[in-house]
Amino acid sequence: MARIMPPTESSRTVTSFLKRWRKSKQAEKHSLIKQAAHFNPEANLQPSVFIMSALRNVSLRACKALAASNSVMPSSARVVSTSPRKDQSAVALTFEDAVAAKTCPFRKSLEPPRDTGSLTADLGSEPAEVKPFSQMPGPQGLPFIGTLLQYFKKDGPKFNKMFEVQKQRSEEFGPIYKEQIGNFRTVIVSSPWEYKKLMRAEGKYPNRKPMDPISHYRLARDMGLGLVTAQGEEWYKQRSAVSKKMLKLTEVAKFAGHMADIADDFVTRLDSVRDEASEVPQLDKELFKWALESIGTFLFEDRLGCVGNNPSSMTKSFIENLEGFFKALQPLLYNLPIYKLVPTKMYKKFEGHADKLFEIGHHLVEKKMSEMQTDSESKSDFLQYLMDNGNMDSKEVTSVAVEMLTGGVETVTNTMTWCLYTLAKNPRAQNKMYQEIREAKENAGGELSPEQIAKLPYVKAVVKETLRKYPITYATSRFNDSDLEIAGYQVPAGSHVQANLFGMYHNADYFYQPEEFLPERWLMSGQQMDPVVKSLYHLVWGHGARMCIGRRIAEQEMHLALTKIVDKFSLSYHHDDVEPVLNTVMTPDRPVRIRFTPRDQ
Amino acid sequence: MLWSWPQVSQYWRYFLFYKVLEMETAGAAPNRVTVVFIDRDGDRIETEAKVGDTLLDVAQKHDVELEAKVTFILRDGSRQSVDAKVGDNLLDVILEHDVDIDGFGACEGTLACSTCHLIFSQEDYDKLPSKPTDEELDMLDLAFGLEDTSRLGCQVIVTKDLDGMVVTVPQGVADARSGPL
Repeated sequence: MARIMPPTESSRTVTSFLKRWRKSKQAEKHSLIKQAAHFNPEANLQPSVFIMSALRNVSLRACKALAASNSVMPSSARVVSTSPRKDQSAVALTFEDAVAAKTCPFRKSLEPPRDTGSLTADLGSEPAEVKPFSQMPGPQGLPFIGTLLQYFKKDGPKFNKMFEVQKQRSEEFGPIYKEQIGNFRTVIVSSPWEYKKLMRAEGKYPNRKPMDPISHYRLARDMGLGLVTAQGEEWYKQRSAVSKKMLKLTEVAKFAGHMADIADDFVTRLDSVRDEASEVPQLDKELFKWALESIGTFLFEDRLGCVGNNPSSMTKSFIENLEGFFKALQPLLYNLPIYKLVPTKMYKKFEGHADKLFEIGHHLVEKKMSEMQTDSESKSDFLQYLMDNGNMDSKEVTSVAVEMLTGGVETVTNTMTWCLYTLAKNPRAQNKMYQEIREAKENAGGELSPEQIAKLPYVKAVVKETLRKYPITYATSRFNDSDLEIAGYQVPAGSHVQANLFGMYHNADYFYQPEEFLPERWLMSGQQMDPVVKSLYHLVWGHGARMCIGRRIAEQEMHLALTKIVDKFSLSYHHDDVEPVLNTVMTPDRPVRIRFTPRDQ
Repeated sequence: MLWSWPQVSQYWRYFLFYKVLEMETAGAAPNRVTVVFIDRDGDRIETEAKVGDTLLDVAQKHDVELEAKVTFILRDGSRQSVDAKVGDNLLDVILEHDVDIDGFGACEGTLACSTCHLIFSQEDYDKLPSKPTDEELDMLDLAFGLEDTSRLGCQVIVTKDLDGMVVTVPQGVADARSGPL
């Protein structure tokens, strides 16, 4: 087993390495670009494409150099030397070059100067000539069905590994490519600067690709499309009402106390269900119950009673159906939409789970509503607000509540699973997080209040870094309203444009040692990433007016629970690595067996 | 009396439309004073205040709305001055006064976008009542033309100290639509 480095030492080395790496990367970037400008003044290459490849070379070299000199990670079980390395003298030289290269014509596009006057700087490179859409690269497919057949070949790309497929294709085709799968064509963008162009052109009612099976189901059941799938004004009405309560930090913070209580109960529950190896059997089910209880307390201002030792049969049924719902959704999303013509077996399964979920959700909301009418003590700020200010009838309110329950459980559960897994696999980061919690507790003179937990920077960084490594939603997308230039190509209005999040998060051009777990990179103190690269983190939550509406609640839940779990247990992992696969959201390919060892033992 | 005239005149600067007219000790209670606000129509609003209260507290307690003058430098370089209600955030101010900024405040102040990005002078920035939260700083990374003195308008609450402040609206959504294509 790897020896854990003392936290102060390791943190210092990691920070200094990050610092040095960024400096050297920047310097090399400039010198390369300068050379390029010098040797190919009239080069016909698309500047952005050229820069991409130049960057890739730089970071490959930088990573190789680092890997050769020493690894920062504790797995190497060595304290990293801070004496100058062989390649550092070279870096110093290229840095000089870079200083001299300030007049480089491409400089602007790489490091946007921060003045408002030259706004184009934020927009990546502006090509002299915009190529037509037809010239955009991408995998070749057949007429009508595109590349669909490839996905059914034995060693071809797989739908449940779409994130890998997009990553590989972006490496092959560059920052923008198009692919038609079945009858649907998508433009995949793999550069933060280029995707920003799309974000910037967004109108009042951003149009996102609906999840077809869900909208098909909801229309068939005559229940309105709901917040997730609706577009235009129908969407806006609901969004505007719900977001005022769900996204505002001050509103969300009101529930921090309840959520902290739930996190405490959850820790107690974890402690009691540990087996002889200190592992929690069916950890995912336990996390499900915690997530359901947490979102339930926001909706109903009451406890559903999922986290205790005797959860109701309703809870169990909800959890099972929710899991089945997302599992069935995955193939329906990617395969040819035959279910639109005839209800296929998979669709019937999906329908069955969805019916059950709505039934339970409906039951919960009805119960609460009637309680609120008869019992003056019983209240729900959220439901009341929707009825009073959102002009929603009880059917619409139920629909929103069910969406919150379905949308806020599977997603949070899987993010938490990945957080616990990465922490268990990275004792250095876990230890640093524990030190932060312990110090905060000492300063607070005892237990931490929810407000104090909300201010722990390393805990937040752990969640961010986990979502970078395992973005539970591997891509985010829009239909663009107007014709746009992206990465040197004309993208016609109405195209489905997707940000290749997984590919960007695992791209060494943007993130230092992308396969390593380094929460330090997100800390606000110390060296900062380029803001455009840093802002990539948001995209896992979507962006703008269609950003995940439960984001602030989810973050709060997770920060509270993670803090309390790490405070109580030391996490470790003693099995083969799990791999991410898509079950609509990114989940581990098998149950994660984490060992929870109480720290006071 | 704790509240001496120099202090009052100091506050005077900040209130363009509501001025403290007179203060006198109110009868038996020596620590109570009467503060009279005169609104824009010339009506007198008499309020009773405790010595040591800030005038903002006094005003809010008696539903007197205070205003501060805020000037926006718009994307085309023109200036627009509005009387912002103390206690509102700058996004509300812009919406309420119909300051025409294309695409401004897309997420309606829910900290989901950075379209209400505003740039302050260093002096004003230091005077802002609250420091940006981590969440706001995160979101600012998405902003265009980011500066050290950038804030999101929806997170900046107008206070009396901010009277006379000049805020720059950075170039944003509008010109991207008239981009190269």
